[in-house]
Amino acid sequence: MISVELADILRSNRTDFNARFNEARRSYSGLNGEQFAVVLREMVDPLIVAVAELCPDCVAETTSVAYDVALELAGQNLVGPGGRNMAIDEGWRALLPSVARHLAAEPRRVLPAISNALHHLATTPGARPAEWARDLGRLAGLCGSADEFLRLGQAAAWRSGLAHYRTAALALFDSLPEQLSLALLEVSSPTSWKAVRLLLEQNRWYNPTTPECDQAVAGDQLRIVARVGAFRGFGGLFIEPPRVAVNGSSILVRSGPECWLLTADFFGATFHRCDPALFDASARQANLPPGLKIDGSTVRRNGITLNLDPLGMISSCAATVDTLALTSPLTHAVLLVALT
Amino acid sequence: MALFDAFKKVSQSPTNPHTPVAPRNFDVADLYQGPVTNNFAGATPGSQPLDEKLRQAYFWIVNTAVISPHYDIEYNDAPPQSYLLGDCKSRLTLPSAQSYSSFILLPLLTFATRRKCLFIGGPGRGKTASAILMGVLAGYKVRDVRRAMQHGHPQMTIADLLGNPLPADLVNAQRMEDIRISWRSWLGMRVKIIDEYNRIPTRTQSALLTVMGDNYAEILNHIYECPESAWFLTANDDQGGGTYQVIEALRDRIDVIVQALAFNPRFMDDLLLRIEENVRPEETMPSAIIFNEAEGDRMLEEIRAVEIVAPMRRRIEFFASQFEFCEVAAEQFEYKTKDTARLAGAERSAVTALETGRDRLKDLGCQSVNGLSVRVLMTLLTYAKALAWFRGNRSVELEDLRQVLPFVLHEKLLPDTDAPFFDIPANAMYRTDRVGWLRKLFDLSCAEYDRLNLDQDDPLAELDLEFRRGLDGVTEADARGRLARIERLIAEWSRGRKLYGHLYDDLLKLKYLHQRYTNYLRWLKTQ
Repeated sequence: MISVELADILRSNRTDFNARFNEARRSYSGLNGEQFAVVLREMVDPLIVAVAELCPDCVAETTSVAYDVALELAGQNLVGPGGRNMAIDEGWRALLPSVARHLAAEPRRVLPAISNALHHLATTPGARPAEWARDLGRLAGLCGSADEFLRLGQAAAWRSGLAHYRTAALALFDSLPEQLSLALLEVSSPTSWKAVRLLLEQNRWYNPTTPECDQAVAGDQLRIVARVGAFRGFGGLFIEPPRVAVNGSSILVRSGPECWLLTADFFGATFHRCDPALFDASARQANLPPGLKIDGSTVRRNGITLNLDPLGMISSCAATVDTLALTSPLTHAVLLVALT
Repeated sequence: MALFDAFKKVSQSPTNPHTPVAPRNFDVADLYQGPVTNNFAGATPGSQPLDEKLRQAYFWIVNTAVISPHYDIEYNDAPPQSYLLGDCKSRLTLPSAQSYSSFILLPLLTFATRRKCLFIGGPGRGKTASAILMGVLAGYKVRDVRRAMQHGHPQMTIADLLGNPLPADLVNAQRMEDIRISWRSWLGMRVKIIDEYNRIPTRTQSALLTVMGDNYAEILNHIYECPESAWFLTANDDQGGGTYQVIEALRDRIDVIVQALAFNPRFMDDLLLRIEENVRPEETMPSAIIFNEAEGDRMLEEIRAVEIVAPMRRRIEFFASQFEFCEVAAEQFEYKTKDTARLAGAERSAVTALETGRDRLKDLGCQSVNGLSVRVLMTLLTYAKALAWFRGNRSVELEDLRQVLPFVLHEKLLPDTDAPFFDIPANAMYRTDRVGWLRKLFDLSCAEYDRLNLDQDDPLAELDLEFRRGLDGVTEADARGRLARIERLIAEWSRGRKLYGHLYDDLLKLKYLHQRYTNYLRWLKTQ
C-alpha cells in the first residue's frame, strides 16, 4: 500500500506518469513494472509522506521529480528488488524523509544530487555511504537552505571516505557556518573552525574527534594509520601484491600492468587509475626523506623504530612529507604510516 | 517538463576516457554527477573542457538526433577483429577503439574550425537535417536556422542571396553611398547553410563565392563584413547533376565533403519512436551541448594549438610531394608539373604517353591527374588538428591524418582512372570508392616513406635544420662547406636514380638552400 498523498498525485496525472514509464522502458529494456511499483512504495512513498507533512503544496512537484529519478535508477538496475547496489535504496529510505524541508524547497536540485552522491559513495571502495547519510540526516536541520545543505553533503563526502576531495572539502567548510562545520567533524573540544582547519591542513592524519594532547603524543611515534587495498579475488583492486612509488606529493601504486594514484588521510583512502608509465618513471627516482630508513622489515626515523616483522621483507616504499607507504610480497594491502 | 527525457540525454563524461598521464585534480562537484540526470550539478559554466563538450554533442547527435549506424572512421588500440564476407571477400572490421561516423564527425569538426563542409548523397538522407543541427549547436533557434537557410533554385538572384537596396533610396538617392541596403540576416550568422547549392545560377554562384571566399558581401558598392562562420552546403549530386554546373572556384572553397550513407532499415524502431512521440530532434537539443560565440573562439584557439610533430609533418610532406611532378611537362626543372601541362591545354593521355623509364605502378603520382594546392594542405592540417583535439589529444597522430585525409581531398585530388594502378583487378573498386582510394594512397605513401627509412636517414632534413638555425655567425668556410654538401648530395641523387615526385621537391629545396648560401656568400664578401 502506498500513502494517500502519493496515490492522489499518481491518480491525477495517471496518463502522464504512464507515458513517462513507457518512454523510459524504450531506453531501459530491463525496466519492470512490478519492480518499479516496489520502488515507488518503498523509496518514493516515505519521502512524499514527509514532504506532505511539511509542505502540502510541494507534493506534486516533488512526486514528479522523485518519479523520474526513480525511473532512471530503476531503469539502470541501481535500485529496487535485485538492484545492483542497496546503498541508494537505504540512503533514500534513511535520509530523504529527514531532509524533506530541503527536498520540498528544491526537488529538482536536491534529489538527483543526493542519488548521485549515494551512488558515488557506494561504488567507491572504502567509502561509507551509510555514515554520509547519517551525518546529513543529523545536520540537515542546521542548514539554512538547500544550497547550504548540498555544500554540507560535499564536505561530508570527504569525511565519509572520499579522501581525494580533501582540498576542495576544506574550502567548502569555510563557506559553511562554523557551528555546522564543527558539528560535522564531531570536534571533541570547544574550539574555532579556524583552529581545526589549521590542524587538518598541517596533518592529514589529524583526528578532530580526539583531544589534541593525545595526538601530540602519537605524533612522536611511527604509527600505522591505515591498511588500504586488497586482492581482487576478495573484492579489492590488486591482482598481485602491489608496489608503491612517489611522484611529487602523490603516492602511486602498481599491481601487475595497472597503476593507481592513492589519496589517503584520516577519513579514508581512494584509488584512481593513472598511466603505468608514470609509475615506472617515478620508481626510478624514488628517494626517502632524510632520517627515514627501511631495514628489512623495520622502519627507523630519528631513533624511533617500527617493527613490521609479520610483513616480512618490505618490497617497496614511498614517502611524502606526512605519509610513508609500504608494501610486502606477503600482502595485497598497502600499509600507511603517519610521519606527522 | 519531465526530468527524464530520452531525447535530452547527453552522454556522460568522459566520453573518450584516456588513462590519465598525471595525478588528477579532483572536483568535489563531481559528487553530484552520476547515473541520474542532474542539470544543476557538475562543472560551472565554461569550465568543462570544450573537446569533451563537442564529444558530448557528437554522441547526442549520433545516438539521438541522426540515426547513423555507420562507423567509417575507425580507430584501433589493439588488433581489430575482421571478417571476409561474400564472393568479393568484402572485409568487415570491428574496431577496437572508439570509432566515429564521418557524416556527423566531419560537420562537427567544420563547426569547430569554422570551415566549409559539403553534404552529398541522395534525397532524404539527413543532409539538411544535419546542417540544421549545426545551426542549433551554435545557439540559434531552430526557427531562425530554418529561415536563414538559403535554398538553391534556378531563379535565385544576387538580391535573393545578399539583400536589396531600399526602394525609396533608389528613387531619391543622388549618390551611390546614399542608397541603403537591406542585407539578408543569414549573412551575420556564425553558421551558414546553403541547401542544394548546385541549383544556384552561375552569376549568383559568383556572389556566393565572394562571401564564402572573402567573407564579405557587396551590393552597389556597399560592403557587408560577415563574421567568421562555419558553412554547410548540400547537394544531391556533386558530379554535375544539379541544375547548374558549380563554378570551379566555388567548389574549390569547400573544405570537406561527406557522403550521407544509406539508412539501415534495422533502425526502423527509432523512426517509429519519432512518429509516435512527435519528436523533432533539432528541437530537443540539450542546452548543455550548445556553444556560445566565446566558446567557439576558444575552441578554435585550442585546435590551432594542437601540435603536429616533425615526423608527422614529414609524412604529410612526403605524401603531398607525390602528385604535382610531371617530368615531361617542361624543360625547365621548376615547371615540370602537372599544372604546366594543364595550363598548356595538353591532353592528359598525350602527356603520359611521353613518360618513360619510371614504374607507373609504383609511382603514386601517376594515380592522380593533379597535385595538391596550398589551400588543400592548410585544410588538411587544420582538420587533422581538429580530429586530434576532438579525440582529447594535444598532438596529431598518424591515424588522425589517415582518417581525415579522404574527406579533405575528396574533390581536390582527382584520380587518373587510366593509370595502371586501377587496372589491377583488386584495385578496380577504387574507381568508384574515392574515400577508399585516398586512404589507400596515403597508406602506400607511408609504406614507401618507411621503405626509404626517411625517419632515420633524411640528408635533406639535416641540411634544412642547419639552415633553420640561422646564418648569423656562419663563416665563409662553413657556408662553402654547406654548398659543397648540397652539390654532393644532388650529384649523388643524379647517379642513375629515377625521378619521382618526392625527389623532385627535395631537389627544389636543395636548389633553394644552395641559392640562399650563394647569396649569403656574396653578402659576406661585401662586409
